[in-house]
Amino acid sequence: MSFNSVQFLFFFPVVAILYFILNHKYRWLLMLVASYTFYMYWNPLYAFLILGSTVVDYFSAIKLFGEKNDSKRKRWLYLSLFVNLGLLFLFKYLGFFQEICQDGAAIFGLNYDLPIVQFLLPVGISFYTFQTLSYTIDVYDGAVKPETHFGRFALYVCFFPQLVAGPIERAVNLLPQFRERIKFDYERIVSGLFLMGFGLFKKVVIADTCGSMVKYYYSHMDELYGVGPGIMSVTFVFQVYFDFSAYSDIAIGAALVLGFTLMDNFKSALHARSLPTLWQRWHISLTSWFRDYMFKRLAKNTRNRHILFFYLFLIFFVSGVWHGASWTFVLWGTMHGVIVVFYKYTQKWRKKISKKKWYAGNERVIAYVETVITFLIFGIVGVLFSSNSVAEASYIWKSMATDFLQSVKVVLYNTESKRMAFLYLGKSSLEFVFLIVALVAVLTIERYQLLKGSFRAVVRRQKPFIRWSLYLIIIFSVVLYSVQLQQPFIYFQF
Amino acid sequence: MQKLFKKILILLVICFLLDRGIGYLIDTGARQYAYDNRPGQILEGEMEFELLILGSSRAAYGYRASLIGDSLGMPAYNLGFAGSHIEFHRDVLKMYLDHNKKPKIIVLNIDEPFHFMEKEGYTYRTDFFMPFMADSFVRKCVVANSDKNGLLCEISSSYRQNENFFNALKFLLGGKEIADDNSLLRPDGSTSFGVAAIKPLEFKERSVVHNVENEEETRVQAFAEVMEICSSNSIQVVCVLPPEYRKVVPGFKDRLIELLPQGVSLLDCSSQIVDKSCFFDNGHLNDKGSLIFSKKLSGELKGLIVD
Repeated sequence: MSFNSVQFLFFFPVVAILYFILNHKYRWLLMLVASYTFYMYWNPLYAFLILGSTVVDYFSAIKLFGEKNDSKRKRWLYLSLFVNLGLLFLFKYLGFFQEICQDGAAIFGLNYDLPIVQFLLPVGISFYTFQTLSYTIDVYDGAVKPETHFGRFALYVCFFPQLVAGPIERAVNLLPQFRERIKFDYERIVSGLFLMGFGLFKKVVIADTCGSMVKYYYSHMDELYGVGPGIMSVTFVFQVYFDFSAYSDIAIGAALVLGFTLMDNFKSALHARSLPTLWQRWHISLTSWFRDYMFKRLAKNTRNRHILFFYLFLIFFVSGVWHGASWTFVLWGTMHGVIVVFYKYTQKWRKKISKKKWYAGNERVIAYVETVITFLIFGIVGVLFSSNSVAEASYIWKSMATDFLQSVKVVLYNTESKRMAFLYLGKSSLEFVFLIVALVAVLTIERYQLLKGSFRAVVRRQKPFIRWSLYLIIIFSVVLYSVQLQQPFIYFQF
Repeated sequence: MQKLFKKILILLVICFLLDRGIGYLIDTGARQYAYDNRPGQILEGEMEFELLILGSSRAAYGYRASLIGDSLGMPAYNLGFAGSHIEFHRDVLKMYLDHNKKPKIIVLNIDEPFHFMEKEGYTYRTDFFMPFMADSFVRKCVVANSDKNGLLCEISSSYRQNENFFNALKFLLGGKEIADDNSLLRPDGSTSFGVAAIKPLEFKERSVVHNVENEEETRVQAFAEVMEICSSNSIQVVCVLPPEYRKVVPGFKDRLIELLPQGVSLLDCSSQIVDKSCFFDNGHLNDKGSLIFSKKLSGELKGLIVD
């Protein structure tokens, strides 16, 4: 079931009402049933994978916690790692791995005859695998005690608001909340509902509109050059950002309605002045996962900055592979790794520049320029994310540089009525203007949140007329933009 | 909890009222914006034509209804919609019969060789129906042929009309839709397609043979339904294979004859015009071609009409 589906429109209120009616003792059961129902809506069989991971991690954690002998404790940890990563490899990476083997064999003139195995990717496998792995590792490290209540642990693995696309929660934050006696809190529920509505607005009004523009580009890519692919790469950044941050908003909002606090997953990432900062604010639950469970472990025994930067690069490489089993994602992660490491190497030099007089005097302008440059770098590298192959991505990069001035003329003079194709990517001028207005509004809100704090709190302080007008604008924008039902969230594929 | 429910209830009431208002405004704006108002005219129920032409772009561009009607002495109208297939034609016919006096003859254009097959750019044209979503039959058709949710369409009139939102705004800001040069509607419902081909035309050879296995069951069924509707309403049907500037696909005509019920005539005009200056492209007649073809067709129809 997807957050933007009609089914969820009925599912969530029913679950929420039952949740508050029910005695605290049985709430975990309701949430567990609701979570499995939510997941099984896609493919009931794949719920067994989650159940398998749950059983293995539940027992592994209890066993390793009770074990004194470190090598035996490690054995339980490895069992958990093997099962979880094994399932992830089997369902997500086996086909890609086989393709690599096939290509490698061909280079050496060998015959690789095994059929390529491609399973249907279980929705959210990368997310819940990382979540449950963090639990076993935390128990191994002694950061959390194992959960002995199987039902509550199973709920931790499959908690429906964040099951399929995060935030990837930590046991230390989420598990204790399942024990708390949550009371009905009007303010909290309104705040959660507002966040869900705001998320839906971002998804339906912005991300889906951008999505249809990106789709338009890909179906007309042979005719569009210069400005066209440039606009597409920018539009794709907006699409993927608002799609994913919308999912996180809805997840956090839904959990808040039910009384749970999930971690923030995005913090105005598009306002970042550098790529490393952008990555600190984008998909925070994943980047912090890599930081805590990979980088810190690797970097534990070294102070050599070249080695540290290599580890940093490695994290981005793995993050690319985490996103998808294809060369486009491998290269995407690699490029981000290289750029972030470049930033790290030039940090001192940039700090020196920032102390110069002319820099300090123009800091505001420079901040905007840096933000735009960061955004453009992210967009240009992001072409790999939206393309089906590296060859397709390089074609798009090439076509960005082809006849650029000519394409600017086409846009300015609307030659052969092609402005619609080059600039609006298939939308009408009116739809394009509406998109810009929505983008500016949401980015301004994000900027406000970054500098001054929660926008929800600001809304709560407004007079009822303004507050309700905002609610109605959100509701009717979502209704009017829901032209195509249920456009899938991009991160479902991961 | 009571406070929350009370507020949600108030919000729902406000939403309901606003929804109706917004839906009404979009509906009005979109209907007025639509350049091609033929579905609207059908729904108004004031069409009293004795001969109707049904089909896709080949029907829209190739058949001059007024010329055919004048020649036969019966009012005629062209209900050809570019890019549409037989399932859409079936629903246009149903809609026509529900709201208007039944015609005597239906000229059904056959798209050789795709009439029963899936083909890109050959769809159920929900966009022609969209401005008329307030009608329950139109709504049913759109829901069945798009990913619009039927339940939500019944509950919310803003949702029902949401695809028309920008068109309604465009009407408010700039008035009626302006048709491009290749889709100007004539008063008889036919469409003008320019005078000459864009590219120099070459006669197209085709080596494919019609394969029944490539047919879509729903298309074959829709064709049968059209025949059944006409038969039960005592409407004479004449199927026409229009002129083409390319080789016909072997086997298609035989298959069509196999599917035709008894009493339905078939006019094969596919090689009737050989002058390439009459074509816009290999499959479509231009204005010059449509004039010549319509005259010829009128002559042939005269001999087929049953009193």
